[in-house]
Amino acid sequence: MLGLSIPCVAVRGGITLSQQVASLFSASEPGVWYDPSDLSTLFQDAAGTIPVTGVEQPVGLILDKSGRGNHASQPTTTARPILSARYNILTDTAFTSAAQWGIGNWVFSGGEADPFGGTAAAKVQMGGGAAQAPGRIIGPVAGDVVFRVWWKAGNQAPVSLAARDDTTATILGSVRCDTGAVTGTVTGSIIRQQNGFNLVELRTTAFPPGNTLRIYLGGPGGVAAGTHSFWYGPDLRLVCDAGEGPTYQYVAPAAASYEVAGFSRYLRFDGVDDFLDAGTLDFSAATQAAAVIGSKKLRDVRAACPYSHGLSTGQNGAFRFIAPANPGQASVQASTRGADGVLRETVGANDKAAPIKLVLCSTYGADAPVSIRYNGTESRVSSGSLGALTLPSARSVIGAQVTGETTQSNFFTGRIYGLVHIARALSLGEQHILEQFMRNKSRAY
Amino acid sequence: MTWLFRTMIVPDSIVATVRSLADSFGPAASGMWATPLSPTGELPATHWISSGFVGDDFAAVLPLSHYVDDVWVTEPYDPAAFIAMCATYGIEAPTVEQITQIMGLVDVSEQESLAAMERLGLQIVNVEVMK
Repeated sequence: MLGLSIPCVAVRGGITLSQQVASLFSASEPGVWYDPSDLSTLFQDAAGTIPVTGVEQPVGLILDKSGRGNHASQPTTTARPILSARYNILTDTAFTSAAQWGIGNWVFSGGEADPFGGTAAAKVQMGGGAAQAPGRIIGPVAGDVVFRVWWKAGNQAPVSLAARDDTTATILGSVRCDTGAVTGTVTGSIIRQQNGFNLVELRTTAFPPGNTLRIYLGGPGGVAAGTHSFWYGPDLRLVCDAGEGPTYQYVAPAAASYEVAGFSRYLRFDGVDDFLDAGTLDFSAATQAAAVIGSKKLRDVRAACPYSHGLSTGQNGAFRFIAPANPGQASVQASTRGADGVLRETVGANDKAAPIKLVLCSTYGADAPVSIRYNGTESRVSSGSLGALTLPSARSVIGAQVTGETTQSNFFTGRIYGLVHIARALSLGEQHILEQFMRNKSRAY
Repeated sequence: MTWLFRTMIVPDSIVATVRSLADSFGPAASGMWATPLSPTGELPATHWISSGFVGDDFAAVLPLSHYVDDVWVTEPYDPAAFIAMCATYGIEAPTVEQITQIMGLVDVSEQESLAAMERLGLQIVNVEVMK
C-alpha cells in the first residue's frame, strides 16, 4: 500500500547506493546487474534501436550495468517482458472479504460468470437490512485516482459508483453504472461492455493530496434491502499526470509524480513464453558467487524460475532461483548443482505463497551449502555442501530455466525489479548493499 | 512501430507449419509457440501458445476474435493482406486455401493469456523443474 515504504536514496560517505552496487564489480568480477528502473538501459527491440520511453512497452534488450557487457535480449516480440508500473491500490480485488468493503448488511458470494466468460464467479452484493452501500476507505492518497469495476445488473436500480473525500466528509460525485451519467465533480463513463457487464470508470478531479478517499459501490444514497447486482475486478490506480493511460498509471515524463506516488518500475513476465537471454556468463575462474533479485511471484500453479544460470542437469555450479519449486507449492528456493552432480536446494517450510514480493539473496560456492535469505532476514540453506566446486561458463536466462543452448522452460509469472549476479564471495555488508538496493526498487519490505 | 497485444493459440496439428511460416519472417517472429497446452495440463499437448506484443503490421494480417457485447466474434479475414505482407518480406506466400485453412484454426485475441486459455478450456502443460 502507499506510504508504507519510503523511496530511499542511500548515501554512505557521499556515495549513492547505486555507486556502491557498481563498486562491487570494480575488480572486473564477472557478473551482471540489471536495473529495469533505469530507462536508459532499456530498449524495445533486441538490436537496441528503439528506446523504452515509458511503461507498458516491451523490453527486447536490457543493458548490463555491471560493466561486463552481458546485456540480455529477446528477439521474439511475443516473448519480451513488458516494463510496467501497474499497481492496483486495492487489496481483496476478488471480493473475498466483505469486511474489506464494509461488512454491514452486505453479502459477497459467487453466482455469475465473469466479464471474460470465465468460470470464476463474479460476486453478488446483497442488501440486507437498512439501505446502505458497500464502501471502502482507501486511505490517504497522493492525488487523483481512477477507479474501475465491472458491473452487471441484478434487481437493484439505479446503481452508481461514488467517491467521497472522507477528510472533508464530502461526496465528490457519482457515475451511473447503467448509463454512465455523472454527477458532482468526478468524471466517468462506461468504457467497455462485455459478456453483459459494463466496465464503469470514475475519476476524481483535483483531489487534495493526502486526504482520505472512500469509494462506494452502489451509490452514496444507499441501496434498498434485498437487492443485488454483480461486481467484478475492482481496480484503483493513481493518476500521476495528464498523460495517464487507459489501464495503468503513467510514468514518463512525470518521474517526480511517479516517485512521489511510490510506484516502482518492473519487468512483467507472463509465465507463458517471456524471458531474456543474457548469453554466456563465464564464471569458470570463480568458486564462489552471489545472486540477489527483487521479485514478486504471482502464481504457484506451475514450477517456475525467475532466473537461472547453467544447465542444472549437466553443469556443476549451475544456479537458479525457483518460485515455486513444484506445482501448487508455496515455495521460493535457491538451487545449485554441486561438484558431485547432485542438486542442492535450500530447505524450509513452504510458506511463501503467491502473491508475494521478496528480495532474495543467495550465496553459493565451494565447500558450503547454497543459501537463501528472504527480505534481508530469514535465512535457509541446503542440506549438504556443494563440495569442491568450480563455477561454470554457462548460459544465463532471466524469467525461465535454462534447458539447453537455445531452449528454456518453466517460465516465471511475476515481476522482476532488479537482478545482480556476481562471481565472487560477498561480505555480509556487501550483501546488505544489494538487498537494500533491491528493497528500494521493489518495496518488498 | 506500434505494438499490439495478441494471444495466439494454435492446435498441435498445424504448429509445425505455423512455426515454419513465422520463422520465415525473421527473428522477431521466430521461436513462437514453444509453450504446450492441453485440457488437463498434462502431455500430450493439444495446442501451443504465444502471448505478447506483435508489430501492428503483423497484427493487421492476422485474424482477430473478441467480444462484441455478449457475443464472441471473429472478424472477417482477408488472406490477400497476408499474401501482400509475404511479398513485402520477400518470402513465398502460401496459397489462399492454405492461409484460409491455417487462419481458421488459429485463435487470435486481445485477451490476456490466462483468459484466452480459460475460454478455450486449456492449461499450460506442467513441466517439472529439472532435477
